[in-house]
Amino acid sequence: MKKPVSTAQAGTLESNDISIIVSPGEPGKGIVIELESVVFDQFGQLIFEEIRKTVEDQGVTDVYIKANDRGALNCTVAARTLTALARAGVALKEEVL
Amino acid sequence: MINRVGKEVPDYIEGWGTVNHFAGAFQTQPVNMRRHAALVKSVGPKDSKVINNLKDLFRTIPVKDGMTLGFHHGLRNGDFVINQVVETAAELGIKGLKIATSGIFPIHDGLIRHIKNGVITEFDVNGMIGAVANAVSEGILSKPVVIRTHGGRARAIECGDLKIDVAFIASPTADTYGNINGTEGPSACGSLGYSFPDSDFADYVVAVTDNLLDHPLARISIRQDRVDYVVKVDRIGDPKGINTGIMKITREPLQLIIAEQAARVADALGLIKEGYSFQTGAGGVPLAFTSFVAQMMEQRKLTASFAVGGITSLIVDMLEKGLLRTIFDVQSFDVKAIESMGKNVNHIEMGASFYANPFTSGCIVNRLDNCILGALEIDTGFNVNVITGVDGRIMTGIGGNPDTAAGSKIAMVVGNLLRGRIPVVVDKVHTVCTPGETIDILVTEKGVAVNPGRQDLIDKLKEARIPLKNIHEQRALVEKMVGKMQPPKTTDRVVAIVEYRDGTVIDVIRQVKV
Amino acid sequence: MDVFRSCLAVPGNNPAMLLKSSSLGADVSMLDLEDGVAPTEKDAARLLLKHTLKTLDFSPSKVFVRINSLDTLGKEDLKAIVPCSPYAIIIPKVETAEQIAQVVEIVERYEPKDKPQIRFMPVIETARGLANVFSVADSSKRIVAISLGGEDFLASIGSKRSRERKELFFARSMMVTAAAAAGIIAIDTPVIDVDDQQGLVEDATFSAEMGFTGKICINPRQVGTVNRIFSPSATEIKWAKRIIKAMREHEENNSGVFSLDGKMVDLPIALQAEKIMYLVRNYGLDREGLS
Repeated sequence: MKKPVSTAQAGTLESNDISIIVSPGEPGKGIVIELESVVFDQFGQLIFEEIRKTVEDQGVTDVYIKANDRGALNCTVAARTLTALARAGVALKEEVL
Repeated sequence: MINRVGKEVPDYIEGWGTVNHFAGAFQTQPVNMRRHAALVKSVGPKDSKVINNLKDLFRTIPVKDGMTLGFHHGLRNGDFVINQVVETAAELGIKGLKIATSGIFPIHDGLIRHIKNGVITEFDVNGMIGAVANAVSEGILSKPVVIRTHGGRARAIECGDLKIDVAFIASPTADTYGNINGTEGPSACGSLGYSFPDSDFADYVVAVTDNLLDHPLARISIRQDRVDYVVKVDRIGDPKGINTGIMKITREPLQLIIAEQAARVADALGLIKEGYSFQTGAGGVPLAFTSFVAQMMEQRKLTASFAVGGITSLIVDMLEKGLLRTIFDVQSFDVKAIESMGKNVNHIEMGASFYANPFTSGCIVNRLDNCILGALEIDTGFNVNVITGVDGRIMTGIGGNPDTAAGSKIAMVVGNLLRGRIPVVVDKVHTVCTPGETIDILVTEKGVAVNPGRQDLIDKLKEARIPLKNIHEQRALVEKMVGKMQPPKTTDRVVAIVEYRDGTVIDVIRQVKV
Repeated sequence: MDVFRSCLAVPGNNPAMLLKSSSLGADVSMLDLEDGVAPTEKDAARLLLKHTLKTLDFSPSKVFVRINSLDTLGKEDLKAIVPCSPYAIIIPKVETAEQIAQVVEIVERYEPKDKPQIRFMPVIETARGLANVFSVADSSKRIVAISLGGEDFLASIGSKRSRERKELFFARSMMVTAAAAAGIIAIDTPVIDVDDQQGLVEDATFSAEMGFTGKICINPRQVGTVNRIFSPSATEIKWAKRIIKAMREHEENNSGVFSLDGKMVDLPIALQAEKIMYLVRNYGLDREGLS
């Protein structure tokens, strides 16, 4: 299992974007996601799932993710999550590069 | 029961009564109906109408518990009068009032206090924005709010569904014997059209003004023989909230593209001709549409016959350039529109009934070739929601949307397919305000969708090689992009009734779960 | 032969712009990983484009992706983007045919075999690039167009800006000629001042007269004008239809060269008429000159 080495950020607070901050999480706590969204009631579940799935698919654990969403589509959520993970020192799997 | 537009509407609503269900845009007609008769009064040569302050006025009438007070929203988010009147009622210990206004704005947020204290127990409106709208959505009132169209409010007042005890008319200028106009004074707002039904049918009519002049006024919108009292206050409103300056056309590229496509569609349908009549709203896309059409008419040396509705400087420009013969104004949106109404003979002030009341011998929307409408949501049946947001909360007004859609030969909804991640084209709108049978065309950035009931328009557009993208395709496209949206969480309790222009109930708004 | 008029530059790290781009009426959406992305955001842009291309439908625009040059981040860009099968790759700062060969080699490695081959549009933006433009244009069957990066080019030759842009004349002539020689099209450099609509009209008109097929747009507001100017006009279409009709009639009678309206109609005229109708068909201009 991989773990982030440092804290890193990707994405912006512009409309249709999402800001993702990845930091090393408490050991044993797994994937912890804190999500704020302008469309929380409408799409919060879908956004949460996209972040979780993206992180899990990369084999990452013990990670804390703080996400601030401004109406990003799922493809943007995935891209920003991967970027933040890479910037935090996670070696991304080949097929997503 | 599931009604004609596919919405679950109870047969009986607590605080309203037995529901008269929506039966179709033109199905419900007046039978043996008579107009409401207001109280007859006599004011003689020695009588004075001027009262020093609102408290004295309340005592004079007198205003009592449970009365219905009428207001107009010509001063928009710059209105002080509703707040002043309700404050006065509160000070005098009056309770249980029904506020019947064409619009509640954020400037009226302070009314929440009076709702909590029981001074106000009911609302009858065309729309609500702000804290009051939120509180109503959350269930602060025990009786449901009645939300009507502009034409529907006029009908309800004229036909006695909405009986107004005292109409408080925010009057930018009034004389000492009660003549009123809206084009002069520091709080000038232009057309007072929304208050005309109140002035004709309320039992008592009060002019509330901050610009009291000697009798008589040269320019009269509401006549002295319908006005009982005149009260002078320091200010009736804030000009910054009343006017938006000169409305500018959007520069946002998608909106311009949508507007241009809508103009092409109008052209392909043969609408851009000598004598064209139209209504366009004041939003980004409708304004741009007006500008494109004005260009086309100028190039082809055509003149439009009339424009209707909320009037902006763009429409005034058309009038002054000779591209348009007449303006019928029920609401003047900016400074230029106000000035124009004051000086141009063919810029005519009209009342809400003349504008859109279906129970008359012919309102002006019936004569429209074309209207350009906005929508918060539109569904695959072309039903339009202009009142509730994605969270199920009341966030704006129905306005004249259902009226103009019903009256126009061709009703077009224009706008972006997406707002952020929120889809505008949905499977079923949360609240039906305008029934799909009255909406002909949808223009978004992804294409032009025509109501299947209008094969004649489909044929015309195909012949003109306008590419069509049907509404189901547009819906599928947007759902693929954004995913499945969670609907608003509501309880069963009805907090607002959405009335169609003919007095039937077309939908209800339910309390949002907090 | 691929033809397109407006190529709208879309910054690759901007989700809102990516979402809007296909609705802006441009024939080509140029999704940019190069100069339109801040140096610190190249990684973010690459991943954003990759994931957006996988799920969003950009039609009716064709998707071109401008990668970074091969000697900087171009290889990583290709690895990420090529599997998504964009219509074409825009290769910046091209100076030699060898550089094209290097790109071909990488693209062949990652290209999905079940999709059409990815096309190229090299950008000529230096003196050396222009000097080699004939061999560059001919270097691969994947090349559908060459485009001129005017601002960078003028910097590389050290010229001063003039209002009529005469300093670009030679480069433009060479681009158009090299494209024609290779059987592809040439795309002209953008007008940088987005508020200067009149300047755009003049420059685009001149560009079309010189033989460019299209022009890069750096702002959505330029798209409508560029589409209009690079489309055949109603008059041209009417003329072309008449020529072709007359040609067919004469073919039946086996007459060879003939005259119409007192002017001789020979092969070049016929080709011109056919080219106009080719554009009409490709741009969907079924009504005279309107799109």
